[in-house]
This record gives sequence, C-alpha cells and structure tokens, in this order.
Amino acid sequence: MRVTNQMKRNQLLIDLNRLQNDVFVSQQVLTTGTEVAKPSDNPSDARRIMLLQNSSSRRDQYLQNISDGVARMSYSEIQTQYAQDLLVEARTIALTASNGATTDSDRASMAERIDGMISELLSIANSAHEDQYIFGGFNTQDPPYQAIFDPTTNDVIGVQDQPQNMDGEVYRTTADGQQVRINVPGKNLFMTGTTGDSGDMFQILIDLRDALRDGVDNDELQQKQLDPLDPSYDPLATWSPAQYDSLTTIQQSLQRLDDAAETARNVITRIGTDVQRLQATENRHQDVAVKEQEHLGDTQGADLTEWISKFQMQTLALQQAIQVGNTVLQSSFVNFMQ
Amino acid sequence: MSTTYNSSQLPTSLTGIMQMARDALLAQQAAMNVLSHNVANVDTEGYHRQRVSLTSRYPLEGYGGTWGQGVNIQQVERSYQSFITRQERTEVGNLGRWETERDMLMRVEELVGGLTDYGVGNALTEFWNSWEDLANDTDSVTARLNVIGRAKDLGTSFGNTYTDLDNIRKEVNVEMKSQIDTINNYARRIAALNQQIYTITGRSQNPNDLMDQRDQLVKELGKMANITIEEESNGSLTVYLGSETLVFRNEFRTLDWKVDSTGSTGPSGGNVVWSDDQRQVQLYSGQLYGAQQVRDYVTEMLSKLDDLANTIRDEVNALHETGIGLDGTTDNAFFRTDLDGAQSLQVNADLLNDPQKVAASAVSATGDNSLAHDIFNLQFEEHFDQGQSNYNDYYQQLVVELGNKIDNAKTRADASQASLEQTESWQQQYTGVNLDEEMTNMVNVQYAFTAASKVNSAVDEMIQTLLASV
Repeated sequence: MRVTNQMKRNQLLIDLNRLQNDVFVSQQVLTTGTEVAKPSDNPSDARRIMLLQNSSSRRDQYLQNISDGVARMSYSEIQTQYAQDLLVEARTIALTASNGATTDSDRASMAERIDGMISELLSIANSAHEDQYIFGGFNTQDPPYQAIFDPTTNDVIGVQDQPQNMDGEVYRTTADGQQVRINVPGKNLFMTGTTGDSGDMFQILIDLRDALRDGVDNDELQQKQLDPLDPSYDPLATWSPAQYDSLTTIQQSLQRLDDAAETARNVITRIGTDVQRLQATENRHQDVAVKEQEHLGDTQGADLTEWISKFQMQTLALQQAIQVGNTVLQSSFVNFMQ
Repeated sequence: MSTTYNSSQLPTSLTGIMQMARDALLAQQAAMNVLSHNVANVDTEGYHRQRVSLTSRYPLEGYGGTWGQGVNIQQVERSYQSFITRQERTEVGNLGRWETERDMLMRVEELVGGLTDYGVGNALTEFWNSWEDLANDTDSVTARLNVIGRAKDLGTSFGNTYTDLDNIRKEVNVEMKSQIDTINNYARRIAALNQQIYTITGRSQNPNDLMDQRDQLVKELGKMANITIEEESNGSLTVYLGSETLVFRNEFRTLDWKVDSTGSTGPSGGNVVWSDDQRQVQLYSGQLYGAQQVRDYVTEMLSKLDDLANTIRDEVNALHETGIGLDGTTDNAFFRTDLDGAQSLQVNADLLNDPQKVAASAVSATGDNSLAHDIFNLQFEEHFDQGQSNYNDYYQQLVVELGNKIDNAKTRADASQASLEQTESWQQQYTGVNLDEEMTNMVNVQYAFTAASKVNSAVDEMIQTLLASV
C-alpha cells in the first residue's frame, strides 16, 4: 500500500478526533454522573426514564394525597372516638337514672351533664381539620350542624343539619385509577336517619336530658305512700303518665345509646381499616419509589467504576496517539538529505 | 576483414549527442518542475499528484541496428481513479445529509429537553398533579392559584418550545436558501472550468490542475445534493441533479427558492425549484436534502404540539365547564377558547381575575372534589393515535422519536464518515503525494540532470579535442 503524507496526517487527525470525542463523552458522564442525559444518548432508555420520571412524580402526588387522607381520617377517628366516649358516659348516666332511685337533685345534675354533652357532641360534629368541617359531607365551609334553641330556656331542643350534600363522600386518589373515601359524612354517624328520628344522636341526648328533668323520684313516691305523718301522705299516690313516660324514655335511651355507640364503633372500625389500607398503599408506594429510583439510577446513572477505568484507558490512548503522531509526522526522508 | 566507418554511417553526430544531452536536461528539469509542484501541493485538498511521462525518442536505423535518440517529454500525467472518485462522491452526499440532520436535530433536542426538569413533559405532569392538590383542598383559593400557575407554566412551556422549534424551522429555510446560492455558484464555476478544460484539451494539453479544481467543486457539490456525473471524451463533465441536468459543458441551470408558506415549509418557507421551469427539485441526498428533512420533521413536531395543546384545552374545558367554582358559578372554560395551537394555550381571563371560578366540584358544594379528580384522570385517557396513546405517551413518543432520529442520523453519519475516510484513504493511495517518494525521485532527477550535464561537457571536450587536432 502506498502511504502518502495526507494519509498519515488525516489518519492521525481522525484518530485524535475519535479519541478526543470518547474522552469528551466520558468527561461529560463523569462530571454529571449521568449516562443518558439526552434522548438521543439512548432512545429506548430515554423512554424508560421518562416513564419512570412520570410515574415517580405521580407517585409523589399519591403519597401526598395519602398523607393528607390519613391525617383527615385520623382526625375523624379521634373525633368519632370522643363522640363514642360521650355516648358511653351518657349510657352510664341513663342506666343510673333508669331504676328511678335517684333524687331530683341527682337527676338535675345528670340532666346538666347530658346538656353539656349535647354541646360537646355538637362541637364534635362541627369539628374542622385545616379549616374544613369533616362531618359535613361536601359542606366543608359552613358548620354542618346547627343547634335549635328554646327561646325561653335557651336549651338546645334539636339539631338541624345542612339541607344538602351531608352524605357527600370525599375521596383521595391513592394510585392510578384507585380512590379511597377519606371522610365520614355526618349522615353516617350523627344522623343516620332524618333529623329527630331514632338515628339522631343529638335527639337521643336531648330526650334523655328532658326525661331526666321530667323524671320521678322513687323515694318521694314511697314517702307519699308510706308516711302518714307526711303532709303529702297519699296511700294511693302513683306516678303521673308523664312521669312514667320519662322513665320509659330513660330506659329506652339505653338501647338507643347502645345503637348510637355501635354506629360510632363501626365508623371507627371502618376508619381504622381504611387508614390501614392507606398506610399499606403508602408503604407499597414507598417500596416501589425506592425501586423506581434504583431503576432510574441504573438506567440513567453512570457506573462510575466502569466509566473511570474507561476514561483512564481513553486518556492513555489519546496520549499515545499524540506521541505516535508526533513521531510519524516528523519522520521523513527530508531530515536525512544533505 | 576489417571494416571502416565514416560519419555518415553513424546515426548521430557529436552535436546530435549534445542535443540529446540537452533534451535530457530539459526532461529532468521538467520532472523537477512537476516534482516541485507535487511537493508544493502536498497538503492541498483534492490535489492529484502528477508525473512527467518520459519516453525514449524513436530510434534511427543505422549501422549495426537502431540507435537511440534520447528522451522525449510525452505528457504530464495526473493520477486519477474515476471509480474511487465516484465512490467518494456518493459517500460525501450521504455524509452531507446525515451530518446536517444530526447537527440540526441535536439543536432541536436541546430545545425540547425531554429528560430535563423543564419543558413540556414536566410542565404537563405538574399541571395534572395540581388538580390533585386542589382535590385535597377543594375550598382553597391558594390551591386554585396553584392550578392556574401550573396551567400558565404549561402554556409557557408549549409556547416556548413551539417558538424555539419554529425559529429552527425558519433558520433551516434560511440555510436552504444559502445552500441554493452555493449550489448555483458551484454549477457556474464547474461550467466555466468545463470550458477551460475543453479548450486546453483541444490543444492536446493536460489541464490537470483545472481538473483537480473541478473535481473538488464536484465533490463539494456532491456534499450538498444528489448529483451524478458523466465524463465526455473532450474533458467536459455533465452534472445531473436527480435526473435533471445541472451542468452541460459550459452551460448550467440554476436553482431557485419558491416561496410557499403552506404545508411543511412554515411561515416564510419555500421549496427548492429549478429557476427555468419552477418545477420542484427531487432531492434524496446531501446537505440540502438533510435540511429539508429536518424542516419537514420539525413541522410535524409543531403540528403534534398543536394537537396536544388543543386536545388538552378542549378536554379540560369540556370537564371544567360542567363543574362549579368556589363562587358557585359554572360553565366556565378553563382555557381560552378563542385561541388555537400550542403557542396560545392560555388560562381563561375570567379565572385569572377571579380564581374562585376554578371548579373542583361537580355539585354545588365546596367539599366535593370529584371534578378535580376527573380532570387529573384525563391524563390516562387515550385521545391520540386512534385511541392508543394518552397525553404523556404522545409527548414521550414525540421526544423518543426525536432521540431515535438523532441516534439514527449519528449512526448513519458515523458510517458515512468511516466509509468516506476509507474511500479518501484509498484515493490518497493512488493520487496523494508522498514526500519521501518525491525526495527519492528528486535525488534521481538531480543525478540524472547532473549526468546529462556531464554528457554535455564530455561531448564538448570531445569536440574541443577534435578541434585542437586541426
């Protein structure tokens, strides 16, 4: 083969350019730590990277949704637990009062306590998390429950809920195509039926309070029946129908309170189950996110050991090429001519 | 039996020998001249080494046989391999196309930024996610401002990407116009060289350097467009562009830029046509073709961006108009409906003025977040490629397709480059200058010249000797 000066020079330039290009690529990879910085570096990996980036971004959003959902549900759980505690306490009071062995003053005090509970339950029902009412269904800006007061006594004689959307269910997206309800509509807890009916938790307490106020005193009755010296002695004395109704109401409230507490318990159980489900989803997302990041690192990131050794070999080859080129280009017959 | 001679029986007189020596001196001088020319052009692109072709003069019949008459300069030859030159021209055309596509598309890639935190892809994801933020906080004005902010970012990303790509398209059009001027210039110069070469060849001379210049121009032309060549015996080259004649002897045709803002050329765009009949030039190789390919591809990308932006606008609006804002209003478009395309994806001014109009609910209650969920879930709906691709898929395909095109152009350019290097090396083997070879020849020529000079002086001495005896 005939080798010309241009061939030697061109070959050297081609080799130097190729080596410098290799070194440049390695330099970019090593300084950025990224092997696929542009789609053209590896289009099929680029597609995978974009899918992973997109999925990762959505996953972050789902984790945020779950975190928000868990916070709301935990808050709802606590408030429902308070409501349940109130109901249990009210039942204890009702049980005490149901045997008719309490005095007027006992009942008055019990009635006061129940009256306080009505306010507490109303407060629970209107509790808000991050400025949003949690038991109002879709009614998150206005208090879902309004007390109706007796204009004379100023007692709460009923509680009115919002006319619409009290059964609204609020969801959080927890994964692609997957949503979990994160609210407890008041309709499912405080008023499972219509206002004032047997499913109305407030009404149970109001009825109990009123019954306690209107109720009978067995000691007093016995005194009327048995003590002839008592000015009010009346051997035929008996409870009035109204007094009988009060006792019946108190006794019936035991079952009603049991039912209401059962409802609260069910709600708490459901919240607990849903929170567990959300936390399981959260854990799964976190596990997948770690794997995704590893996959992203494997796909996009550079294997530094491999690239450093590659870089060293390339720089060595470049130095050799420069040295060889220098020798080849300088070797000429001209140098030996006299 | 002894034989006697007289001068008339010898083929050459002493002065004839001196004549031969003089011719030898001239031949070696000519050889040195060509050698010097070779050395001078050792690095000249497209130079073909030359050689003085020497032949011995026709011998004379004489006593005892034929007698040599010295040396004759036959011609100055150019080392030329037409097959390799054709091969080289093909490779140079391919390289021109793929290098142009690679370099221009890499610029496009920088602007699209598929894997970076900026660009349409990321803005799109942020936009969808903002609806989930709103779903988490449905009665919040801040969450609504966030949705509006992400929508504005999306519009800006679309707008910037579109404008950048459109600018590239305009630049490519300008580049194509410039290339047309260059091609016309090359065609004119080749035609002029054809004329000069024809004239010199007609005088039975070798216009080697002019042929080198013409070959170099043809090579440059081949880098720009798909040309083929036919050589005539009179030294002229006929150059075809596609199947049409570009240069014939000393005549040439020119290309023109026909403004056509419709179709793929874009605003202020045009097509490459023949100046004389305005027919479109058929291109399939070279830089001009590469540029045309990139321009048409960028147009396709712009069309896809428009499609993507318009679909987002229409689908989001269709849902949003059914929703109810924090202020209780409904039937509000989220994006402006009076504008069209990726450059004009803008949030409805009513919503900008009053963010409470951003709807998250399907019913008139602030706690309902079903509409925000529905808009977030729009991203999974497959509105593109005959119901095969969703928004993210569609955009990712756009980016990956660009990556594939660049990767392909890089591979093809590298292959063409390697092939061209090999062909050029092959060409150099035959036509290049080797200084060691020239120096060796120079020593030969130098000695031959000295020897011829010695012959001359020896004959001179012989003549002097004869004259002294008189």
